[in-house]
Amino acid sequence: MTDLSLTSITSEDVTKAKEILINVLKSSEQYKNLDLNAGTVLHDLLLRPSAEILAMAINQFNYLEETKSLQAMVDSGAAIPADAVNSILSNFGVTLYEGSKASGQVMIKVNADKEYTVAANSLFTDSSGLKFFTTDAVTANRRPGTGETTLYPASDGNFYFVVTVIAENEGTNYLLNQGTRLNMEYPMYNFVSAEAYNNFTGADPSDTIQEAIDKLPYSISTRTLDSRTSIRAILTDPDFGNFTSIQDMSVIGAGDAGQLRDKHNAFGVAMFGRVDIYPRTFITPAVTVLSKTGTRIAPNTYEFDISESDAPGFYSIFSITDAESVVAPTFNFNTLTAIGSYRFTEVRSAAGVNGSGHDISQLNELIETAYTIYQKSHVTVYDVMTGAGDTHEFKVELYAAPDIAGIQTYVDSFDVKSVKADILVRSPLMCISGLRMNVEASVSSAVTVDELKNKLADYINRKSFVSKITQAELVGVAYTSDIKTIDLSSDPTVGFKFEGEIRAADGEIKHLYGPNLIIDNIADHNKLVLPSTCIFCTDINHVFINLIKV
Amino acid sequence: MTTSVPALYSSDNAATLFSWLGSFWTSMCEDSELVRRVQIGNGILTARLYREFLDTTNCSSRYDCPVSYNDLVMPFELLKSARNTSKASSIQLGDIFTPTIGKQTEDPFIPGSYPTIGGQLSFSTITVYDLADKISDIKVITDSIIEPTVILLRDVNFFVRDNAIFFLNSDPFNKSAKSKVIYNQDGTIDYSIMLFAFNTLIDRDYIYNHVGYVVGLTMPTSKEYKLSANNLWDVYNFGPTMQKVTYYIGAILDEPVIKNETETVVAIIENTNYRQVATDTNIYTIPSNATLRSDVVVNAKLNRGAFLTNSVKFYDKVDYSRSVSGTNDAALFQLDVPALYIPTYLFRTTLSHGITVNNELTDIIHAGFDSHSNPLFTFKLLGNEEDTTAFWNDVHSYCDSQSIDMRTLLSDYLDDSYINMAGAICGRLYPLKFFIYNFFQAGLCIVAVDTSKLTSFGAAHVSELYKLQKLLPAHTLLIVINQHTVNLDNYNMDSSIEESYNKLVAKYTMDAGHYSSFASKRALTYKDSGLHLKWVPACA
Repeated sequence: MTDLSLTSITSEDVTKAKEILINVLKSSEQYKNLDLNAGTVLHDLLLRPSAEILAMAINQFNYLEETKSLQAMVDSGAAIPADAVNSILSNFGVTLYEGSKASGQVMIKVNADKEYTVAANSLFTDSSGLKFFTTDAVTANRRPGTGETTLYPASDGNFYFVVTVIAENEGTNYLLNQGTRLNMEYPMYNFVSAEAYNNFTGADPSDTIQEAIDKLPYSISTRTLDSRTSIRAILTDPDFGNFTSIQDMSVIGAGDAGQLRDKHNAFGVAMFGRVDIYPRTFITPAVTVLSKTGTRIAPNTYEFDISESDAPGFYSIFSITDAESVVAPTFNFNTLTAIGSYRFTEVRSAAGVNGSGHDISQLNELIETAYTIYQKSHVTVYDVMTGAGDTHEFKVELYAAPDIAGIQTYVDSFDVKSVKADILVRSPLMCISGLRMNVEASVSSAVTVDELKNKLADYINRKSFVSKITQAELVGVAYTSDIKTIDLSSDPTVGFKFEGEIRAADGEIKHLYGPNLIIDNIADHNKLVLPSTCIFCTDINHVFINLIKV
Repeated sequence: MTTSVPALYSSDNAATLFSWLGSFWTSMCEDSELVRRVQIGNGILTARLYREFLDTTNCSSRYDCPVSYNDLVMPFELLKSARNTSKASSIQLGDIFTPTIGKQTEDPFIPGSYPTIGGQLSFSTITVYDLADKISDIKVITDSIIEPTVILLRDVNFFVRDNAIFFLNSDPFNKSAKSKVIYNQDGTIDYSIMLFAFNTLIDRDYIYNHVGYVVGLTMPTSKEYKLSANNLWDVYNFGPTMQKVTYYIGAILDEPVIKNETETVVAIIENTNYRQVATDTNIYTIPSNATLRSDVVVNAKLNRGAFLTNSVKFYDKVDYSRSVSGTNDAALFQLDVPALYIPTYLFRTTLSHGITVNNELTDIIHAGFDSHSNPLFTFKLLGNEEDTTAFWNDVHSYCDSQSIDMRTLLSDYLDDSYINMAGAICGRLYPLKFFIYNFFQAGLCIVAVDTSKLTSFGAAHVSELYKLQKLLPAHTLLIVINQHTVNLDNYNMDSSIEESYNKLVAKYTMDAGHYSSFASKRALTYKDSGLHLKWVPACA
């Protein structure tokens, strides 16, 4: 508890108490001329000590009352220790989210076609000493058995395989870029090199008190697949769904725009009874990496399928590159895909709907299965200039919300599902955003590019199911750092640039740009593009800050 | 638990306690009266401390959480120079004083002045001083804690509003001789007076800080706010049961709900400003202009969750012909819901504005044939013609593509025989009834509210009903129908008759406030704010 002493009380508090004592004394005719000014014995030995003790005690009660309320803590503006916050949150069965660790994949190159084993918790370090550990033991060879990993031939005559690693600690400084060279603490036999196979993701900062407050309604809610609130409560409660990945959620039910599945009747009028949930199961955009073997269908053209189980409910393809590619693709302001990716087209369709128990109209299957576990995709890749082999190995990076399949399985499970309930889980539509800002700060300012990038990326990644992000909001976030000015002009090279892309349920790409990204401007409930279905997100590498110290 | 001080050695009588001080103080201080007064003063301080302790303890419980801090004795100082310098406050409709339209002839306003739209109203007999803290009420003010010479009573001599105190009849500086001179550093002279407020209510946002913020309900502190926030919390805790939902509706609209399993009405008491329904266990107060439900009569047994008036009706089940929960009169439902606007996103096809269906008997018109030679039908819907056309085109094309014969869809409403050609009248139906029976019945619930018959609190918080939407089952839709009984107020421009304001709080939900924000049109303000109300003269 904060040390509350005489120095914590105000003179006003003391005066108030003292006035009562003085008035009681002086109200008698006998004492009305009594000298009770400071310096007198009565004042210094009787009145002031009593008043100060009372004021201090009241101050302590007020502090106690304040520390019973998270809102009062926030409003007080004082620094609040995490244990004080958690002691209140414990009454709601909640603890302050302390952030998560970055994770990603590492490509290990070896110079011989053998079987290799990497033990769990094997250590990799980058040049700055950041540590990453493998999550599981991995066995790799050319003909992998169940639970084993494929050893691929590389174009330089070596071989490679991929392992998953997780950062030692929380923090966005662990977000490695694709291609970052890593050292292996105990290199295996034939070891050549190790490098980040994809951009690392998942280093989420801890919750603020306000974010903890926002979660309280769910903590006091019933745990049932019933109301918009209780659905989130049951999914996140450790004793029930325990989907800790859920950061936010939108439930589209009766009367909500974007609920298309309750109109499957001749009149096309909502009859209710259908619910779609859009859980945001990540903060920074979650990327899944698939290895796909493409079949050649024409010169320099290959095709492959992404099945419903490859990346359940995946949102969009970020990049398709050669399997051993570790070239960090950069965000392209004008397209969802990355610079460095092969050109490709994809055709999505429904899969596994029959027998699912979900009301999905055959007449509108593409839209109604979009971003659910009941979608698959056929991909055609063009301009693959690597010979004329019948097949080609591709690395496919997808934006895919984690846990979509797990949540769907849970809400459909026999012991949880309500009678007649029809709840379909859908990945939120991601407004993949890019931002460019030119910022001036004084030479004495300690602000760094990374600080600004982290703040802005985190702000964007916390915006879920809202209609817009405005320039004013982002400027406000930037100004929480020690900066002087931001170039808000629309100058094509140095001005403020903010863009985003949303893939509608039918595959149409909707482009947002300008000082404000406003989803209402492109809303289309028949294609599931609505503030209530979309989230904003960005990769820290998509935030470009030019910091000038003057 | 045993107390540390046996009963024989404890007393709540100050004189007894003083006498028990014994020889210690008499040997230390010969002036026993002085000691007595010091102890009385310390006693008051201890009592204040105890109040703090109680509040801090009670804040642990959302049910016991105090609405405001009640300060037993609060000294406060007025500076003469601060007279009438407080920020603008508001005159609330229904106040002790309300201005009249036209020339002011009597106190408290400046006689002879005219209130103007957007202008300021000046009082002639009232002096205003700012108050510190968030003081919401003071019951008594004196110039001394013991043996006061001036005693001021709330609503007789003063009232408190917007952190300012309004002395009605005279300035305290004129009444008390205890003002003292203050010599300011700039050489000016000021006067101050120390007054003592008894039973002062200080708004410390207890309700918001301990209950409201958790459920996201924000409004000015009041006992109604406390009840509403707790009842909303109950809906979170216990789920959307009929009882919890009804209690929240009652609380947020400040409309009494029967609390016990059954209660028997023993008396109905009429007053000028309110009406009371006394049952064998509770007394419920309702606005005087509210209409009691027909079954609320003396000796009637009322069930838990029942509303007493027709101002609020909760239709959990939507049915046009049978009695439904929350009301004993199906006809009432038809009156409450004469038409229903259906927004665009409740339709499969894309519409611009949505469609309204009403309950007038409507012809079913033959609209030609589909590709399977099945007849197509339409009936009249209200709305933009492009929208109604788009709706029927979608229905017809769907039936055609799916080989659905529309006669099977409308079989209950078609005549036994009709001319099978385009333009013929083939039957009749009530469109609203048709839509409710066929589409909305299972998932729609309706709250019908007559805001003109609610208290000002209730009328101001109709929009907070929508907090229920996310707590009701996700496959159900809540619709709030906001009614208002409009009294035409004709005003003769030539008339010299002065008219006083009627109580008018809000006519429409949008006036009453917005989602999670306060109403903007609840009060008539003076000083620096423009008037919030408009008079619109109507020609008779």
